[in-house]
Amino acid sequence: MKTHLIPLLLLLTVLSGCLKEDDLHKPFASFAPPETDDGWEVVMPSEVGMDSLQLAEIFRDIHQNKDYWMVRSMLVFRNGKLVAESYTKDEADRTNPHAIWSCTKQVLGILAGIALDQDAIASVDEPISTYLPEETATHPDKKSITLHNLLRMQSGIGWSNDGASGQTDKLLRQLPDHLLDYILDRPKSAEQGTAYHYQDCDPHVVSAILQKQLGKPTDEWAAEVLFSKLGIQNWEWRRYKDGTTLGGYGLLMTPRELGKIAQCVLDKGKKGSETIVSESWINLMLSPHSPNAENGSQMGYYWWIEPNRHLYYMNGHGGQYAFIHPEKKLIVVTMSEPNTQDKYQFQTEEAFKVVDRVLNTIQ
Amino acid sequence: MKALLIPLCLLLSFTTIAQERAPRHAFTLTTGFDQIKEGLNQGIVFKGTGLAVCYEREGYVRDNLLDYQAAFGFNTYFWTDMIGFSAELKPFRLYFGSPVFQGHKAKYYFGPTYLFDYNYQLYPYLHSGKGFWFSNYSLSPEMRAIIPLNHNKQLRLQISTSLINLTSRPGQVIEPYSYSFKFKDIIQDLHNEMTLSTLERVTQMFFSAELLFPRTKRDIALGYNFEYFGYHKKPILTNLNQQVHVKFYFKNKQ
Repeated sequence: MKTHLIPLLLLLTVLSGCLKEDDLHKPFASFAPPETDDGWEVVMPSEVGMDSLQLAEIFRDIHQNKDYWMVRSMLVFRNGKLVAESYTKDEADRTNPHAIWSCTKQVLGILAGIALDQDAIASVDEPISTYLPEETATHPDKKSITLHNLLRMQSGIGWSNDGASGQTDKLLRQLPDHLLDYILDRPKSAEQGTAYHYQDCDPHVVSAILQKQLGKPTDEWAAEVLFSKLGIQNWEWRRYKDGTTLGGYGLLMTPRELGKIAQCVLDKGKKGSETIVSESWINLMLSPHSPNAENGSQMGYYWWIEPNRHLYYMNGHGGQYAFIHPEKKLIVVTMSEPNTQDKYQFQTEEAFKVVDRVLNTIQ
Repeated sequence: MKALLIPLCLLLSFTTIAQERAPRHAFTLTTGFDQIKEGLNQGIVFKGTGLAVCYEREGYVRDNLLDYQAAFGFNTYFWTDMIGFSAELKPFRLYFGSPVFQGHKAKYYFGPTYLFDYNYQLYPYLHSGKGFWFSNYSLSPEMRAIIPLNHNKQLRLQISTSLINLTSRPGQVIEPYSYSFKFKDIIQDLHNEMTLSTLERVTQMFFSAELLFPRTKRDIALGYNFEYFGYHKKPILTNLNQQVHVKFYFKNKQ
C-alpha cells in the first residue's frame, strides 16, 4: 500500500502547486500627466529643458525594479509646472488622500510662520508658558522651553518615536486621555536647546500652541490660511481624541497637493503674486538649526536640508517625500506604502539616488 | 445564520439523545507548507510553516460516524525576508456521517460537517502592527472512507467542500494613524458583519489521507492534509496548506 500512497501524495503536492503572486506594480505605460482642474499646468519635459527618454527610464525602473515595490507614485515638477507623474499601483492615488506621516511636521513649520506673520505668536523665543500658562503650571520644568526649541527638535522632553513600544505608540493607540498633558508630564532627558532629538512630541506641542492662540483647531485654521490659498482640496488632518490636531503626523494628502506645498516653499512663500507666508520665515525655516541632524542631513524648522545635493525636503514615514532643488526649480514627490516599517520603507538614500537621476535629465 | 444553526441544533439534539458507543479520543500534531495570499497585502504571497494541535473524539451513534475536533495552530510566514504570523482557532468541527456504501470490508460515510474557524493574521512590517481577523462558520458535505489493509492497518480518506459559509472579513485598512492591540478591540471584530456566503464568495476544501497503524498500547496514524480556503470578493484571501500529521490515540478501543 505504501508504494501506492507515496506517489499519490507526491501527485497531490505537484497538482496543488504554489499560489501565484500578483504583480506589485502595474507595467509602466506613460509618465504624461492628464490635465485636471486642480491648478497644475501640465507641460512636456522638453518645454522645461528635461530629457524625456531619461525620465522614461527612471519611471520604468520605479515600476519594474523590485527594490521599489513599496513606491506608489512619483511626480516631477519644474518651473512651477507638472512635468511627469506615474502611479505604480492605483490611478486612484491621484485623487485619494494618502497618509504623509511626518511631512505633517514640515506643513506645521509653514503654519508656525503664518501664525508669526499674523501676530498670533509674538516670537519663537517666547517660553511656551506664555502661550500655555495653565498647562505648564503643573510642569514647571517645561515652562522655559521655547517655540524655537520645539521647532528644531530640541525641547529636551524625554520621548521615543518607536511605534511599538515608545510614547508615539501610546498616542497611536489613543491611550492617554489628553495629548498635551501626556507630553508635558514626560520627564526631561536633556536641557532644552542643548541636544537634537527627532521626536513627535515637539510638533504636537506646537500644534497645541497654535490651536490655543488661534481659538480653533489647527487643521481648520490651516484650511483657511494655507490649503485653500494653494488650491489644496484633497486633504484630511487627524485630531487626537481630545480634539487637538496632531502635529507630528496626522495629515493625509495626494501627491499633487504635496507638490503645491513644496512649490510654495520653492517660491519663497508665494502663490503667484500672493504672499502666503513671509519670505523671511521661509529663509529662517530652511536655515540649518540642527546642523548634524541625521544621516548627513540638517534640520531647519522641521524642514530637512541635504547640503551636498542642495536639497530641501519633506520626509514622512514609509517613504513620503517632497524634494526641492531651488537652483534648478525642481520638485520631486514620491509617495509609498504608508505603514511599512524599518528597512521595508522607501529609504531616504534610495530616494536621493532617484532625485539625482532626475536632476541629470535637466539639459 | 439560521441556515447553519438549525441543522446544527437538530444534530446536537439527536446525538445527545442517541446512545453513542465506543468513543475514541486522539491528539494530533500537524505541520507543513502553508501559503497565504492576503489581498490587504497587495497580493503578496507569504509562505511558511507552523504547528497545529488538535483534539479529536470519534464515536458511533448506531452505525453513524460522529467525529468532533477542536484545533489550535500557529504559523510563521515569510515574503523575501519579511515575516508574518497567523493564528488559527477551530473550536468546533463536527462531522456526522451515515454509511452510504459498504464494499469489501471498506466503509464509506457521507454527511455534513460544521466548522467554526477563527483566523488572525499579523504583518508587523506592513501594517504598523494592525492585525486582521477572519471568522468563518461553514457547512460542508463530507465523504469519509475507512479501508482495512493488511495487518489490521487502515487507510482513512476524508474529503469535503463547503456549501454555505457565514463569514466576517475585515475590509480595507482605512486608518493609517491609529490602531489598537487591546484584546477587547480585537475580539469585538470577531463577528462583525457576518455575511452568508456560497461558493461564489467562499470556497473551502479539505482532503486528508491517513494510514492508521494498530499498536498494542496506543494506535498511531500518519497522514497528509490538503487544505484550501478562498475568499473571492475584494479584498481576496487565499490560503493553501499542505501538511503532514501524526495522530496519537489516547488508548485503544476495548
